Amino acid sequence: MDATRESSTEEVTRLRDGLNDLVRLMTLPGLWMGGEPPHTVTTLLDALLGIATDLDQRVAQQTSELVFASEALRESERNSRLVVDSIPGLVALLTPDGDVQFVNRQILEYTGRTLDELRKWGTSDTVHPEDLPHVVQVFTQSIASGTPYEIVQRLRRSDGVYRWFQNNGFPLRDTSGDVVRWCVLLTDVDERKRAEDALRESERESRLIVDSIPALVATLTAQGDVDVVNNRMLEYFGKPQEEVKQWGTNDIVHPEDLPRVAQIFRQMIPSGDPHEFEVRVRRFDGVYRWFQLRGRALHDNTGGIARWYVLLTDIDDRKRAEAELREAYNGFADAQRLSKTGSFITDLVGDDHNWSEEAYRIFEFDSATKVTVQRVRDVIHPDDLPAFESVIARGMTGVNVDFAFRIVTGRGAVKHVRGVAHVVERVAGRPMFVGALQDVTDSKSAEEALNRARSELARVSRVTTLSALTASIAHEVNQPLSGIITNASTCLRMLDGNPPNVDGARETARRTIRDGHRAADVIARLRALFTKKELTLESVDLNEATREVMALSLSDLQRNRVVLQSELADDLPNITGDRIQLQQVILNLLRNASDAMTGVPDRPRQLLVRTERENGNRVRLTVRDAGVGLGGQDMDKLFDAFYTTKSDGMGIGLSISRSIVERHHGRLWAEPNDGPGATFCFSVPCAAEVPSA
Amino acid sequence: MMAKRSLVSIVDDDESVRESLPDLLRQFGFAAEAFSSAEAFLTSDVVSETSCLLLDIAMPGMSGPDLQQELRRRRQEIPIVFITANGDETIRPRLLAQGAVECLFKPFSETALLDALSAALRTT
Repeated sequence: MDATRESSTEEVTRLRDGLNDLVRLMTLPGLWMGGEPPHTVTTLLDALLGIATDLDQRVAQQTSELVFASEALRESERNSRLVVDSIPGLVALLTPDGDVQFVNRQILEYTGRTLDELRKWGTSDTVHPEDLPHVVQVFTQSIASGTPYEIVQRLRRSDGVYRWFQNNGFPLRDTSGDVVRWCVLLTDVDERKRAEDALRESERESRLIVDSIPALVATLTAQGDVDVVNNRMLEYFGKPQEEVKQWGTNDIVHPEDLPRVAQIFRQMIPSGDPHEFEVRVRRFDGVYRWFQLRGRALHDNTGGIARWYVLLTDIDDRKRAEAELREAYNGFADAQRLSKTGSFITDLVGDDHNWSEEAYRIFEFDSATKVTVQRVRDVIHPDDLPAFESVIARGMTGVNVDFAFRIVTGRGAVKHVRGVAHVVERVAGRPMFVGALQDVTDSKSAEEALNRARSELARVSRVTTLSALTASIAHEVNQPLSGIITNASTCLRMLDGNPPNVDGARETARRTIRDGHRAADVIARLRALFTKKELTLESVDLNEATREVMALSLSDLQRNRVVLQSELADDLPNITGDRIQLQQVILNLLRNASDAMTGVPDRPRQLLVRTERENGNRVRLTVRDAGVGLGGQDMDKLFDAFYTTKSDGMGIGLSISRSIVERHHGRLWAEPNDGPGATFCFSVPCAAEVPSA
Repeated sequence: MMAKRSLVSIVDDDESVRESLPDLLRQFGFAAEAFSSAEAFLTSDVVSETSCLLLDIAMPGMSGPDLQQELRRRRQEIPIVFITANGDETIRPRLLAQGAVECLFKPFSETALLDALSAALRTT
């Protein structure tokens, strides 16, 4: 266009100059007669000059128009450039074939490359090598088909760092629809891309965490529909998510629980309040297990419910343990009921009492009411009040107590109650008691039977140990008889002397009388013991025999406030012997131990019975008391018949016991304790051959 | 009468025996000493002078047979007559077999005692 315009201007100028030359020629002096051109010529010349002037003017105007137009054009181009250069993106223009024709300043600055270098992007590292094949493929396809494209790719920055760009290319077409150019826009999306990647990674990790939680996790919509569930939930149910969403109408929730759960959901979803309940849900194998379900709403910033989080924790094992505990407790309660034994935990100082059902039942208190010391005091039999007060007073000082008293219940029934309470711990300096109390009213007859059995045992024992007695009886009687005869002989000889020794004779006669009385005493003491004579040999479980004796002795021991403790060996072999006789020995040792502690007010009256296996195929029974102990001078005489430290004793127990044990080829001995009290032991061989009596 | 009367020692924990026997022995013409235990006899100064020992079997501490063994260990060969209040006669042969001169069961007659003492003194 410019070239055309310029050439026409030159032609006009040349035409005008030609006209001017023609006018100058036509007006040259001498050409025309009279020196002046004829009028017609002049007129023509004037017309030509007019044309030339007009041409000049036109040229001038055209020129000025041209200048103006070209300036406008330059301005426009500058503006376009400015626009393209100021777009916050990288812009390129391509030919219809896809060759880079123009790039904006940003591209040059970003890549640090020249236009020529950029033209070879397909073979350089401008595009990230990992992205290049994809970019080339999409690009080539798009150019060929004339359709726009969009690629997210990395583009090399001048410092060598690749950043992510969104690459949009679209064709520009002329009115006939042909592609005249491609416009390419590259937008830096690096930060967004990285944020998206980080988010994706974070989501992946969250998912991983949610799937790793040993619980079933689901999110619900604000309306309560299942939205997302974790893999564990799918694995547990063994159903696809679609079925999990239908939990309200399928077998996921236990049919017995479904109405309740549905009810809770109907209330929970609109409320937005956290809920927690237990429900059985079906495992993939059809087994329903107990879960704890916890639902919590996530609120948006307007306070509305955005979604629900639901956590299901498997508590089946715990429920089972609870059930077992409950069963055990019920069994325990049954045992309490059957044995009429109530238990209690008591903070006596704080007057705070926790009684078992049976304890309430014994006292005929309403189990919904609170027990106080005063309430108990109110039902104590008036005669037993002093004993009760003394137990309470001792308990207040924090020592173990045992008690036996009568109560008069609300309906006037009198009951015998017996029990013990032991300090188990101290809370804030106050003793906490754990104890048991038993209604022994009905067991009176049983106790009487027990007493009968006990006296029977004692009688049988006396009978069957008669032969064992004989030796010591003979010994006891023969001693004074020997004295009598010796003295009488001496007396006679003194009287026969010449002269007779009357004083000596009188002395020996006196001794004779004294020894005679001694013999008579022995006989008198023994009279009641002689009846009949039996002996039974059998295989004896010493533990069992000991347990029987302990059971028989228990009430005596308790009456004497003796705490009986037993350590019976598990591996004890049976012994061959006379069960009743051996039990007589054990009974004797227990009674002696108990009696030895009668006068002990200041320390626990502890009695330990132990059985154990000894080397050499023997068993040993030990009875250890905390009583008065063995006086040193008594040691030699302990096992003598008729030796006793007791005012009411015969003094034959240990003697008989020793002879019984010796008849079992065993030994019975005593030793002092390190502390207070004494220990009596007997040791017998397991396979003793007991001689028949 | 002998120039020096033979010493008969008695070891018995029963007091009435210790009271009565020495008097009777003296009536027989013996010298007599009584001890309440084997230990008391062993620590006395009459062990080597004793011609015969009247020895109880069952005593607290050292028993009669124990003392017999101890004397044998000390090479004190004193004739021993056991005296026992235990009626079990089955022990007699065993005691005799173990070297006792006699075993008298209380109560015994003075004849039985004299016979035993004679036998004991013959052995020396």
